Amino acid sequence: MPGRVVTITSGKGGVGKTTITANLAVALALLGRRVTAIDTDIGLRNLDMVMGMESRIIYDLVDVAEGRCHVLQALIRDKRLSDLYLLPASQTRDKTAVAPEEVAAICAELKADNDYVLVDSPAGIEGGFQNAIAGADEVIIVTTPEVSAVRSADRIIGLIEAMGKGPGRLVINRIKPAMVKRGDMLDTFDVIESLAIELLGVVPDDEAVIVAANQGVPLAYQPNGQAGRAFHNIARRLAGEQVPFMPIFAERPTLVTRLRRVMGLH
Amino acid sequence: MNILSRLIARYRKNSKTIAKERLRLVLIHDRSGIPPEVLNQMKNEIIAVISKHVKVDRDNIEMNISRSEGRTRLVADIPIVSARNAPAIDIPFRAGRPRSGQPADGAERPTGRNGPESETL
Repeated sequence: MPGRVVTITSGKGGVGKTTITANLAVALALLGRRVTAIDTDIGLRNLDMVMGMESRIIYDLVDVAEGRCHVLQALIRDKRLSDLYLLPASQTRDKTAVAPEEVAAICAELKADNDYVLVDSPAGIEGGFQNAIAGADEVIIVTTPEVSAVRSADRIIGLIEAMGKGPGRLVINRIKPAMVKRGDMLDTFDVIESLAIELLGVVPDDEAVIVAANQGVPLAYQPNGQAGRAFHNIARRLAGEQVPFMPIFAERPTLVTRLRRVMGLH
Repeated sequence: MNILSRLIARYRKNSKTIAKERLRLVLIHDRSGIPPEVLNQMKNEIIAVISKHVKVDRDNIEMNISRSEGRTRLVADIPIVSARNAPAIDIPFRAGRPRSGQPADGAERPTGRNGPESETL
């Protein structure tokens, strides 16, 4: 059975599309799925760095689109998970180097051998976004709980609905429970009420994400922290499981809970 | 947002409440190209037109620009007060009142379809 092409987009830049694509890919692969991630941010590639594969790139998306190599030659396999692959973007050239139909064709080809093809979209609503969305079976919209990100997400939702790829599901990234409690940050309900689409997941702000990016090892490899668990829950929901949402105001875990978590039993 | 939420927001004045309201207005404008002041004017004009024909519950009217099924829509939710829902009116009881439509003492009673509404508009 062919897999699903899921495009991760946002409109606004810097909200966490690449981080979420990388971590979702790892989490799905840890669930036993076969996953290929595609970076469509041509000219400003980043998915390779976040996944720790930047030193092993030989061919990229533009090479495949222009026929210099077959797509399988451009795929880089993850060192830790044998069913996880990356198709990197080019660091030279720009978004005009490929056309939406070409990316859609590549997605269709990869779909046949994967459970999931995750497409990391660049910021914006122009060609790069059009490329990323062309082959999508479904769309994940990423936003942070800030006014400009939510406004951009709304525009993107409108665009994908107009293209017939809607309605999409939402991931709210970098929520800070302390600020929400103080009344200085929009909460999950506020964002969902504004955007009116289904919630796929909420990821709390977590310094460990930056540390993981420094090391080139996506945080989803360590599912114990707040953000790590959120990525895994999102992966499970994407795969069709009903996973209850974690309360963002976590109670202080008891010693027993903490021990169980360390042992991987919680 | 209902009246209570607005009062609380004015009292608290924390930044998220301001953010939420700004977002609400900017999304209305972004989705429809209609500035919020014009939308408000539209709302008042629509209420005036509908009120010419039926009585409406002005305090609970909601009008929004929303998005569904791929289209931007102006959605108006206008509760109508029907005669059945009108508040009860005190009718003095007199023994031996005739059972026909007309009361013996000629007191005004609320009538159904054929008569005027009993409350003022």
